Amino acid sequence: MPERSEINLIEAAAGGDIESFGELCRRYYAVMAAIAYTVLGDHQLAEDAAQESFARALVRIKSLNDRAKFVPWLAAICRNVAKDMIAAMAKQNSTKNISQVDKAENPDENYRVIRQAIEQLPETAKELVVLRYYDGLSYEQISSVLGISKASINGRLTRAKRKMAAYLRKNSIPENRL
Amino acid sequence: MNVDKNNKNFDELIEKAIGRDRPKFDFDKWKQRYEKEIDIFKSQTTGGKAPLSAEPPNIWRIIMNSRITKLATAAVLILAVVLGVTLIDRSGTPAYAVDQTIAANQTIRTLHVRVTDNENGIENNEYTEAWIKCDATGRMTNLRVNIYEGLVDEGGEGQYHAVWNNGVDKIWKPSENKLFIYRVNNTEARMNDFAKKYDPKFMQHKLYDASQNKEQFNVTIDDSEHEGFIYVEVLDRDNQSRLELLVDPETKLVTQLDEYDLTKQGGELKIRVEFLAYNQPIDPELFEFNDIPEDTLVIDKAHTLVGIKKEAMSDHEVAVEVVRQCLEATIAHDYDKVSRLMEGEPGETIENFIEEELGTRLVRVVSMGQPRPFKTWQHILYVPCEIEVENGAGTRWTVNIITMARSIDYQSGDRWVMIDEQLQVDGPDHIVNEILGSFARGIIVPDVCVGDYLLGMSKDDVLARRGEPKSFGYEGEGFAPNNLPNTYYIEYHDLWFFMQDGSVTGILIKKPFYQFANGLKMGDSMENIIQTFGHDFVVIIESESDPSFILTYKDRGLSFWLNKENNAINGIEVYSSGFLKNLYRQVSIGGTWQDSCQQVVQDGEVKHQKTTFNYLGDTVKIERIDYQDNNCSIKSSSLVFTGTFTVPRMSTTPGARDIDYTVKSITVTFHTMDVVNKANRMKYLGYSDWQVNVTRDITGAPGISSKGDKLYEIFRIENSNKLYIGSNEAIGSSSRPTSLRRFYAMRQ
Repeated sequence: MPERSEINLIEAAAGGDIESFGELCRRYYAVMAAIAYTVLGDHQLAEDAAQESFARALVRIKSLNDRAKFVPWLAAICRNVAKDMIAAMAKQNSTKNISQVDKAENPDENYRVIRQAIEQLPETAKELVVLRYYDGLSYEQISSVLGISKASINGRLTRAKRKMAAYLRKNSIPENRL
Repeated sequence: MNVDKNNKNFDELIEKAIGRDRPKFDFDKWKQRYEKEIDIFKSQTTGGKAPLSAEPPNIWRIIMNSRITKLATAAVLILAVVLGVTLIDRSGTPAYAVDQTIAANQTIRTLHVRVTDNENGIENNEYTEAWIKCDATGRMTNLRVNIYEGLVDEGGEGQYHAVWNNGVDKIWKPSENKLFIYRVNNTEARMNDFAKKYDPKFMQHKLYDASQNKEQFNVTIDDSEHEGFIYVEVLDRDNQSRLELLVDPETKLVTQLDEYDLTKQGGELKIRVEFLAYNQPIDPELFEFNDIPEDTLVIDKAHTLVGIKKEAMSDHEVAVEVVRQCLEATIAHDYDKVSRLMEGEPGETIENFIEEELGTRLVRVVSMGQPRPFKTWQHILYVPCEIEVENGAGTRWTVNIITMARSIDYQSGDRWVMIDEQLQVDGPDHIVNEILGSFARGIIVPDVCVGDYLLGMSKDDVLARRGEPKSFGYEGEGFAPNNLPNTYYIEYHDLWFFMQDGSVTGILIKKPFYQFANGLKMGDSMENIIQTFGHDFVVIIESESDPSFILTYKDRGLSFWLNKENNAINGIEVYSSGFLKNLYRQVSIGGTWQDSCQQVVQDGEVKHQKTTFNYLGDTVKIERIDYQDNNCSIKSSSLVFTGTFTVPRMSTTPGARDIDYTVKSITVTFHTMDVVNKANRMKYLGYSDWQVNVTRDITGAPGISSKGDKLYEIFRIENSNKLYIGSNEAIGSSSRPTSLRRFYAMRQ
């Protein structure tokens, strides 16, 4: 059966069709989890944030004026949810960043260092790197989420990786360990 | 680490560091968890509309109906802000009330404003400047807009100046030295789509609805007048925007408005509107173009009927008809008619296009294709056409071109014109593939021909059939027709003929006019190729930054260029299979290679070695034998490595390619008692029971690579029969060599 178009699903969801909304959630779950992961640095929390974002979006979708901006809109909600979660956790002193992920989750030292390199990137670049590598999103998909061109994604990603490489060199990570 | 050069490794590391299996979304569980939100969602209705507040000042509505959308957008922003604040901020009691700004707006009779949008404007000093004059009732009578886009140079590139005077628009493009005159007698209809989105009444409804949702807006007014302004901030959470207004405390008029797009990280500035002057006298000359150059070409669409009437035709029919008439008028040199059909463009437009693009003249319209809509603008249609052209030598052939037609709304009646902006032979891949693909007329027969063009044709055959080519070239170098090397391309817009030793050895298909017998053509997917030709292909990635990769069927003489993003075919190469096999052999590591007897020093010992490399499909077996004598006749030990390999990219080492091995097994055999005794004495790899000619699997032993480990190597092939590998001696090194051995293995 052919896949329904996104705009079709959004229109239907805004018209009250909960199942269409569910299909949108399925499509963008991994993307939203990646966005939240940028902020939260924890896979499980990121998935929680993605689910919470869907709940907030559901009650507002009817007021979304520009249907074509559904994904950036959802992404903005997701970022806010993740930041809210960070704020809530800060009160409990339990925030982490990407580089502080439990070693048990990924025990290799190299990977921890690479996560540190991601962590030191500016917010925009960090999110771009996570979107690209968390779930292997294509430039096309990233473009629809961030609302920037594929050429721009390519340029920004290259610059981000150069920054990461510079960080790794600066922190004396031997090349042969990478 | 050099990111550009070792991109793939780095990518893999990042993926492993943060990547994970795709999380699965369970909608049923989610619904159980968020029952309350679902109830709210279900209970939401389209909602009743609230009574409208006072009509907005005339000037804003008029501006919104002008043809200058940037200015209109700016006006809408102001409107949105004042209405939004009025509706929402009733409870506040600051010294300043936004109602004061609304009242002040009613007094505006002239306005000078500058709008800078988000695209490149703020960085590149691109902006729109406008002067507006209204009569005593607030009705706009004159408008002047100067748009500065791109780099503004002395030639006026990127500048557009427009004036609107009582229903007539004049647009002057200094870079083209053209003045366009339109009669704006159906502005309302033309702006209908725009108005739907931005109509003030509609907006008031929306804002009222939104105001019922207390979560949507947050308005902050700081009237402490620090820095001399009243500062108003409106946060629109649902639309993810934030507006900042600076209000003059004396006049209560807005002097600057910034809109930030909160969907972009950090809240990117989307548009800035600077209100430079209110109610200042404007020189009437500003609303005329009396000072433009005398030789400016005036294209008067206000007083000359352009295009053709649609009458009973469908959109597709009228689009085809206007293009067909235009082409035929070009053939008949009826330039006045062409000009009328093309909205006053010079009558030689099509003729010049064909001359410049193809070096030919148009002689006949062969057929008209099926129109397709241009993106989402249904009133613009692509119209593909097949035309016959002729060169100076009298040679004729057919070419496919893309044209465009659209309906116009500045003249009465439903009229359609041909537009020149997208007239093209070359175009974006997706357009060419989708539209021109329907014209595919030649069949590709691997190892034989592309349409009527046979492999093996001579240069003269090609030139006689196709006429003067765009160029003769090879690897970026151009050649004169009378001084051609042994290997070169004859380049036409749709086909490149690869010439070697005087005959066509390959044909590169650049446009989708040709397809295989089963319909496979450019634009199709990699899966379609594999369904047609099977799995006996080799993937070649020239470089990580190249947007395409190559799928080669060397035995069939076929190569497909595929877009990395979507795996769609964007080029097809047809060679004589012998040529490709030979070429492949020249660059492929596939086969068996063997060193001559080499003297090497390992661990301080002088040894004599021979290594045999065998690459078959994606498997590899490397056998290194140490000998006791310098003739390599008496074996002392053998080390055998087996695994798989990939050749992912050009190497960072000049002239070499990277090759990555994945370990399957590593075995060792000692062939003499002396060596066995020595190994047992030193407990080599922890064993003291080594035996003569008994092979032991040492995969994963201390210091030895394990099954599945990646090993990184480089190689270079010279003259198709010499294999150089990296200078690292030890198999198992995880870092890639950076130089090649000085000796080589010969192809067996």
